[in-house]
Amino acid sequence: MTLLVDRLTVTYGASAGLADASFTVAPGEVIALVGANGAGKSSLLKGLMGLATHRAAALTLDGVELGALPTRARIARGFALSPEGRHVFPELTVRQNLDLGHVGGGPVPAERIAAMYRLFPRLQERSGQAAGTMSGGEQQMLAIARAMMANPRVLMLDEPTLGLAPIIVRQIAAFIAAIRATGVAVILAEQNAEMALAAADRGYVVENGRIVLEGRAADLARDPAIKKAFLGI
Amino acid sequence: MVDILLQQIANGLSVGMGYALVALGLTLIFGVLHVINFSHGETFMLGGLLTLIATTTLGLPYLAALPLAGLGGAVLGWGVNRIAVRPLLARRDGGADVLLATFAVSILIHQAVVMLWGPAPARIDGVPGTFELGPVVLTGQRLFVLAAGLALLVALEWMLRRTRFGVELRAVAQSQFAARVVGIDVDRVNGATFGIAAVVAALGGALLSPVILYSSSMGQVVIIKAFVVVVIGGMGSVSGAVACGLLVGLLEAVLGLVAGEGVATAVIYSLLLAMLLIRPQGLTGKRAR
Repeated sequence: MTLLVDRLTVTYGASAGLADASFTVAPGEVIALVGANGAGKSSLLKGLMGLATHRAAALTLDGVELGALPTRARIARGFALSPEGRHVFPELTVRQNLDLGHVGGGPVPAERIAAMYRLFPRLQERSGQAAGTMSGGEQQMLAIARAMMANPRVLMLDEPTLGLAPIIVRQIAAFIAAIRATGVAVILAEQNAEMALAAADRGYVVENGRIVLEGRAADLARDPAIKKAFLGI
Repeated sequence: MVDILLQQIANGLSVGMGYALVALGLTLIFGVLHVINFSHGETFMLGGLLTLIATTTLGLPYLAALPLAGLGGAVLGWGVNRIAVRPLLARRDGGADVLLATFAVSILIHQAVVMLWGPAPARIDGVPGTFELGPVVLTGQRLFVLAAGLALLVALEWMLRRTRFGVELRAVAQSQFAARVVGIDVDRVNGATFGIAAVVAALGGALLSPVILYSSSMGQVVIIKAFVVVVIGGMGSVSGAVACGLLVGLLEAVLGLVAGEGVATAVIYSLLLAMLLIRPQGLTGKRAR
């Protein structure tokens, strides 16, 4: 599986959220999108998911063009997003939130739910609880698990560590390492560049709606300009 | 006096069930689409009209008219959504225009009915017989309104809580963005919500018209009551709409008995004003989730 994106442009009304972004993602690869708030990272992910108006010369997964498909069809073919701000359904139970992540039609496979509970045991303890009553970290786990319910081949995580305690950040980093080992590709959009580049193989720096720099994550993490701009060093 | 009071309570509850069925759809549409459907009362009227046509012109038995009314409601709801709601919602800030657009639709429907069938009220024969519960005498139709209304509410609640579609509907009500993230077709859910609300309102009209007489203006009367119910119960609250629908029917009947109809009407609209001023989130303060 390889995701190939050629000149993706995402627009909101007349203004461009992202212009001409081109990148690739290989199976089991973790890609970091690094940049300030409002740089265009979320726009890129929304464009991939079909959640925002967009156009692209190519948006293919394994050679299959997805650019004209509605969100549901893209999810069925292997995309899934855990959005910025988590956006769980606050008055549905944890279990109902997970159920909605399943797109296959027919009954939700019990085995898939069990796999999510193994991944995040906390969710099993809270399965009957309204999602909005959980802590921020637990809601983040639920948002990720809800995306994982679709059995994605490309998992997109938008700001998964924003505002969370260091211990939860470490859990999420461990999850990313575990999930990539199963061959799932991860696109990680983070303001926390240090965490993102440590977890990623390669990184793209997004600024003012454009990809301005790309390279191996380790190299980017050492780049003096990056350090100055994003790592606060 | 107590006997008459009990009688009025029973009568008030059966009319209140009609208010609840109309308010329910209004609140469901508001909870999911965040718009006010002013034409909702005309769906109620159409349910009554179809029942009248089915039982007189077509000569069908009353019970056979109910599915016809429901079907007519579904078609009308679908059409209103397609013509006056969905195109406006696609625009930025189109939500406020929906109120005016559906108001226009309600006038069009009402005038078309007056033109084609005339404004004269008409009697519809419902479920026959009377039942005595102690001092209270309930007509078969009023009892049927209460039983069928209750069955409809239970079925709707089951649908919202237990079916995949119901959970998807509540998901859209809670966060349209999150619903799109998990691949829910929001347009489809919106359309179905409109359809369900319209079926319930049309059935409400079919149930109530033998009790209150069919008339071409019955929709205009009930939509105003339904607004009162929805504001008191909380915009978007399903349980609030049901409880307050029954309450308004009850209040109307009991106050009408002890203080006269004029006072009853004044009290109900004062309540609406007071709620808007003091507690705009309604008694329950919860949305349809």
